[in-house]
Amino acid sequence: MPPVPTRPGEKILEQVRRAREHQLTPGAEPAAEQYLTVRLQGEWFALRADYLVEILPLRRITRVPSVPELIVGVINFRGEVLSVIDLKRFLALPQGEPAADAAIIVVEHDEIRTGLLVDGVGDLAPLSLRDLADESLGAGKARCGCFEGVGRLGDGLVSAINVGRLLQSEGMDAPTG
Amino acid sequence: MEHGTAQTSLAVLTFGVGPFLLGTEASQVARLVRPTFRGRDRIPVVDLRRRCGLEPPFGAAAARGHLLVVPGAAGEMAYLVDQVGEIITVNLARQMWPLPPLIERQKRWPQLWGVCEWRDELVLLVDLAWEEAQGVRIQESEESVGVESRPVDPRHLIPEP
Repeated sequence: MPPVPTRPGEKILEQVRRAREHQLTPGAEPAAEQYLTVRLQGEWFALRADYLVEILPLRRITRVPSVPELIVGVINFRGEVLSVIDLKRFLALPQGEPAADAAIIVVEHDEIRTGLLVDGVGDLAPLSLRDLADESLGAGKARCGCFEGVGRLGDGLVSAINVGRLLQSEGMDAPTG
Repeated sequence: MEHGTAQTSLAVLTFGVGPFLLGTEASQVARLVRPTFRGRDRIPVVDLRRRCGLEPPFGAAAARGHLLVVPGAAGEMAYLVDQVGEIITVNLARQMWPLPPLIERQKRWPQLWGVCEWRDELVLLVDLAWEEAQGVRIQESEESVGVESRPVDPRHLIPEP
């Protein structure tokens, strides 16, 4: 019987580790690009697994005064203080009711770790992206520069968010208002 | 702190402004006083609710706040806060951090500079002496208030063990 995961996201992170090991193995065929699917206001989006550090269950987030609303606050992650961004606010999605399975996805870009608040976490899935067409975007058209493509997942499509572009986008790189 | 040794901890005076838990280096605060409409001694005041982007308190609510009085070269300046907490001793190596880069870039309140941990809480740190040191003039809407004549010396607050 396989061991029961003791932490949220443990199973997915194990898949990430294996995929990375596979890519590092000499002679191994390149693995398909892996994406983590996340739910925002009932809609599924995807984040490339390369950026993924950890998936945390929702925990207390300390609010910070005088910052844009999309920055929810800060958390202590293993002795490091991280900013947490509300991905729904970033994509201009309605806030709705707090989700019972909300989570914080810790991502790393340019050696900086940041938390992304999402309504729920799906699974790790290989996605082949096709060029993003504006009409494919269900939400967040104002932020479409942060999307890297659309992939097929089951019967539907998911928009893949480029974490690097997100963290360098307008409103993240310079003070606003 | 002894001469010739690195400082390993910092005394932080904690205080609350709306939903925010904030702290400042305790040595920056000379005294704590209550605002009053009758006080004869008047000092310029900065309402930290405004700094935090909150509505300022009115009437009786304002009178329930506390003033953190910070000395400066040009005289004293007072910061109006909702509640005053305790003085905590924070280990510099293990319990204090600079602001995360994103917040450092995005903050609209220059006095915000770091984060410290206390029990299970994170406390946002502000430099109350910065404004006076920068020669920032107080806005007209934040002019001055009267203060009670009997101050509380924050050093008399008992630090946590």
